[in-house]
Amino acid sequence: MDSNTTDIELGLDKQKAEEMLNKEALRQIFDKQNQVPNGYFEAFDEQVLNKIKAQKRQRPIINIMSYKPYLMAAAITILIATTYIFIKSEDQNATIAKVNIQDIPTEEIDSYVNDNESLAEIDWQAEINTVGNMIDDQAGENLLQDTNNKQN
Amino acid sequence: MLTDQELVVQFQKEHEKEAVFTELLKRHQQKVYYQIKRMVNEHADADDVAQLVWVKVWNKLDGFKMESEFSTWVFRIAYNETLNFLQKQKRDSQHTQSSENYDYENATVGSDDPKSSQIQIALERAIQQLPEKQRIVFMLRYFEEHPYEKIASITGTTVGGAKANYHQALKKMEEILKKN
Repeated sequence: MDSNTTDIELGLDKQKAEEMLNKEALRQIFDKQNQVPNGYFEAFDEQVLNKIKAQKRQRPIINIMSYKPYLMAAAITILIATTYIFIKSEDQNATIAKVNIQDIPTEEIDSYVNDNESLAEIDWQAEINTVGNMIDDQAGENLLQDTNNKQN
Repeated sequence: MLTDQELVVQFQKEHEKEAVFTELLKRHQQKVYYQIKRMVNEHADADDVAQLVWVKVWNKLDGFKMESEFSTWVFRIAYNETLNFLQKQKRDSQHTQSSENYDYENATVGSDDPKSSQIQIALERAIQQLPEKQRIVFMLRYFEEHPYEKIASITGTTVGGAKANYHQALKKMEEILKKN
């Protein structure tokens, strides 16, 4: 559409508005809306530039919502990882529980029992020695005498 | 004199950013301001919104791809910021009240003809009663004399939609005036 046609169309639109409404009233509204305080436009660029400079000086505020997709991705990854680790550890426990005592070789069981038996004996002997050291010779004699009398 | 597009390129090349921006602002500040003021009525509100618009232009100009004219792009930002402002104002009950009680009597331009002033008041009321889109389309067409293609780009509608909005606005205002 060339500018001539556009101008004609605009003229017709304006004419229509002025016929349907009121040309003088429309002009008054236009004048009223165009009123600005004196010197407003002359100082406006300075005001805007000051605002831009103030904005630059301000510490940047991190908007957590702008990181929303990353936060959601991280949360989902953590959830999947936790679930995976949990399921894996459950599997390991189940494997351990499944080991049957019949499957363990007899030699291994004997060795285990013997080792613990000798350990128990050593412990008992150590206890007796400790108590013995605490009793003096006379008291020991008396204790032995009493035991013999009771047996007789 | 450099065109808007050439100035935008200079800005994007970080060449004397402030001076280039000031030149662009000075070229378009009045039209942007009037577009806003026709929607918000009060100078203080129009000033606040206009400043927000130009700060936004500064912040976004590096990413402007020049798919439209610079002025259309700025008018579109101004349109969106004005709508945001009006929605915020609606949410604020105090502002809504003050807007409803807008003092048309004292706000009129002095006219010697009392009948003419009455018509002006009635017409201002009629304009205020229009849906936002029809109101801005009427303002951009009648007062700013923009072609429909530009109005369509600013308001995010089609040329046909913009034309329909203009004619509906006229019809509605005529009906309101007849009722009064």
